[in-house]
Amino acid sequence: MSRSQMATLRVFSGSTTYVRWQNYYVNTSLSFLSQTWEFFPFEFGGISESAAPGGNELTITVPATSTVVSSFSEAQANLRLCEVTLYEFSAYASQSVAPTTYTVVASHLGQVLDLGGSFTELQIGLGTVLSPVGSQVPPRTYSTSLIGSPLRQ
Amino acid sequence: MTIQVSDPLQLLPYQSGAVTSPGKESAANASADLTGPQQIAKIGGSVPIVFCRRRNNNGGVFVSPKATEARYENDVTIVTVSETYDSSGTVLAQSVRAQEHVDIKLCLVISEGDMSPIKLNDMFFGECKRGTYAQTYDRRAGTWVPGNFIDDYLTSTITGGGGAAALPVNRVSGESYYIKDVGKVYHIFTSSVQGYVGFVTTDHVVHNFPEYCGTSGSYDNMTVVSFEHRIFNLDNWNLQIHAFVREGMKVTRLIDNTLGPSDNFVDLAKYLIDKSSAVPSDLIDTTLLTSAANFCEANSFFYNGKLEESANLSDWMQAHAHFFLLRFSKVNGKFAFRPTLPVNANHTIKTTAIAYEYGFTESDLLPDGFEIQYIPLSERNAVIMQMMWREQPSGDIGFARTTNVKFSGTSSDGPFEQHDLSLFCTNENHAVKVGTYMLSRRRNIMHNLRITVRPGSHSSILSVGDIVRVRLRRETAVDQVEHHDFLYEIDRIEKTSTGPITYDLTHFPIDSQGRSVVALDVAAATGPGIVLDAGRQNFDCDENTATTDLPDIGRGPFDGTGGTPNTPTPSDVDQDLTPEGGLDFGDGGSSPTGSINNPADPYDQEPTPTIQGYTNTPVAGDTLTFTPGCANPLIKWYLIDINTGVKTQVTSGVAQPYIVTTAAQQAGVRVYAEGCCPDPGAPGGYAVCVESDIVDVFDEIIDCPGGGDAGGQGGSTKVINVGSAFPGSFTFTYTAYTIQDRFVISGAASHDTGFVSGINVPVTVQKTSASSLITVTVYAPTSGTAWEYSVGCAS
Repeated sequence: MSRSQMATLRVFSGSTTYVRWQNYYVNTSLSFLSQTWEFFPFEFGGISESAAPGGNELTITVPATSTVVSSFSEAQANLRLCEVTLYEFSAYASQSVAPTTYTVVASHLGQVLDLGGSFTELQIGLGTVLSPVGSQVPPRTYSTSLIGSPLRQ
Repeated sequence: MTIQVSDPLQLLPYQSGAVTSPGKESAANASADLTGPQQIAKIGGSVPIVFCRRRNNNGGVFVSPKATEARYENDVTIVTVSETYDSSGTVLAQSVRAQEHVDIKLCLVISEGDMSPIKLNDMFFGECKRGTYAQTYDRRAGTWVPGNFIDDYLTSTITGGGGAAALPVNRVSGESYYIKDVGKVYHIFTSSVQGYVGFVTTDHVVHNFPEYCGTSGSYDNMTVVSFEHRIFNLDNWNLQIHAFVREGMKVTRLIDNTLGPSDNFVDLAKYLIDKSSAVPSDLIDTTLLTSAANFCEANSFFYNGKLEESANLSDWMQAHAHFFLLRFSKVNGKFAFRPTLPVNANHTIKTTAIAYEYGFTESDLLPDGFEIQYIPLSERNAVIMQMMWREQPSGDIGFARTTNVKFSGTSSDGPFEQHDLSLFCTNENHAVKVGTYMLSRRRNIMHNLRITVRPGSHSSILSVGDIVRVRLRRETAVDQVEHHDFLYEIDRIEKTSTGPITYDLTHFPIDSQGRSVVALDVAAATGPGIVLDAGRQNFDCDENTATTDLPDIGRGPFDGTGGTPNTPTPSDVDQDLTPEGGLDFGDGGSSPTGSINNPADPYDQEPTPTIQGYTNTPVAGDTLTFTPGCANPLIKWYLIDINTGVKTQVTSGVAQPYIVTTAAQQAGVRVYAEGCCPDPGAPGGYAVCVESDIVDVFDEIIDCPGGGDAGGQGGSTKVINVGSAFPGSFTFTYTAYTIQDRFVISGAASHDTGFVSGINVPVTVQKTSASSLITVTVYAPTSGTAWEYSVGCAS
């Protein structure tokens, strides 16, 4: 196999980025895409792209350090976005600096829907909160503020 | 370890929209009643969305808005019935009658959002174009005050007496009196011929107009219409108001980025996603949405309907998308719609040869990387698609129609599969193309594939909706090589961080020229194109024929003055709460202070077996026993020196008791036992040893100076802390009175007074060690004796 795969994880809101991690260059602060990406050993099962809207939440597994807990609990509370991107490049490329030639294999953008696990490991679900339950259409209902006490027959 | 579970391949046809059989059949949504009573808005009900745009003589929505406020008032007019003239044309006599009328005013919510003015001749009272209307946005339409003012025109109600004799003598023209006993209303008027003041009567009618007429509201971000009408036929006052809306709620259209009415389903979906506030804008793929909107526009798949039934947004979009030949999907985590058919650059359906993006062969497949699932027969047998849509004449009431879609050569008798597009589809070709799409997929798509392949150049170039070729060599006999060779559409991709990629594929049937047969079927499908007559009879009740816009007349909320209702203010209905801990209390709060001090759990340890055979404190001669919980235990007895803590075994044996000795009592020791149960397999024959509780062979430990005791016959044993000074001595002072008693000191000092008498007799006792505890044992065997002693500290 002559391919290497690196995943990056970014937590951001608007133009502010809170976390930049990569999981390939061990214990290395990687200069990549004009930014610095810290090493963090996160894993994920698979990024799925589907013609159907349901069932493609991405779950990443991370060590349950206090940095992780605070980063993702704050991301959830503040509706920050989390982007996981999977890159592919030659395994013969330098293993100490970022690849100059690579392809983006997959990418997933989502909000922190849920997080949980143990004291040593956390599973973080990334997706959107377009819930399969509950009523959102039409978006508004008649309220006392809108129509007062309405006509009654 | 990460466990990955994929949806079964059998579900793919249903998830991808290949199978769309409805779960139930019902009357078309467009089949609304026209002459029923006016509907009333209720708190908690959905605010409707009217979404339409009449273009090219098609589209628009006929809506039946709900009323929120009303005003009812009646009055009487004197009508000339007949006149008598002389030869010069002068009126000699008149015959008149009184005619009651009722003015009805309603406030009606048309839609959420702003919209262009509705035309006057597009408003209906029942089936007829009657009444006066005003339309406004974001405030209450009309300036009238809601309320029931029926019979307020009466000057007074008279009870007692009868007929005209009961009328007041000072009555004047224009007054009306209700004489209750005869049930008639007397209307006073001045005759225009004779000039005298007379009256005409009418029966008093008890009207049942609503008494609760509404208190108004803010009508925030709503389009509202005011209806006013005077009716004389009081039997038919409660009729539904209808409106034919040509241009519905304004949204920002994706195609031209302009605020205005839209009939594009994708515009509506995006509006609903935005309104849900559940999906940030970064998670909406606007590029793909715009492409999907262009697909709808280019192929004339328009939405002209209203949303009023409460539904889940995700369900709603999935249920409606396939009626526009779109798929509601996620791409890179972002929401998007994608056409279900191949499209050209101009967004029309592509009917030329399809070029596939990538070809997979055996060399790409991983072991066990191939799975095929054929569409079940129940989803492939021939049916007739009964497509329901709405014929929408201009300025008139739309009506539901059906168009049956089937392939030639199949039965005309069914089975039928009903699909209701009448709520939003006003274009027969649209309905027919959707029916054709479902029918063609049912006929031509045979199977689904799931392949798991090694990574390659396809990893980064393929996405959902792309067409790929799968050509796999198959040897079914010697020298007989076949190939599984078809085109497929990618329905799902799963990429793992370990490399393998799984593609879920749906068969993409092509003809000999490489063209999509489903696309060809759909592109060629058109409806019969017959315009049916609405079937309206006796069309003579319309009064409004002008095509003018409804005037923008409205007002803000009422304030309770001048007989107006009290419209709730925001402070009446909104409650802002200040969160405990402040607005930035978002990190889960503070940690509790102090250490954890839980009560002891009485059950978390096995109970300690106790020594038996004494009362209060063991004394010389008591026989102590210990049972560790088994038969024939080996019991070992130990004494503990209270000064040194040294344990000394004093006796042992099977079920061995211990008899407290005088020496032990005088020494002030502690005693405990160790019991070992028989175990023939253990070295020595015993195992599982347990220790007893520790029992003091003295009453208590008290401190100097002054530490001491007093009593009578019997005696006592006390341990006294005299301090650690050594060498040193302390003063022991005893009183035995006349009957002799004996005081024995042991432990850190040693002294025996023998049986003595006397009062406050001091004795200096030398310590024998640096230990601090001494034991004082008093022997007082004689009846009637009394004694006491005290001990000073060592120095």
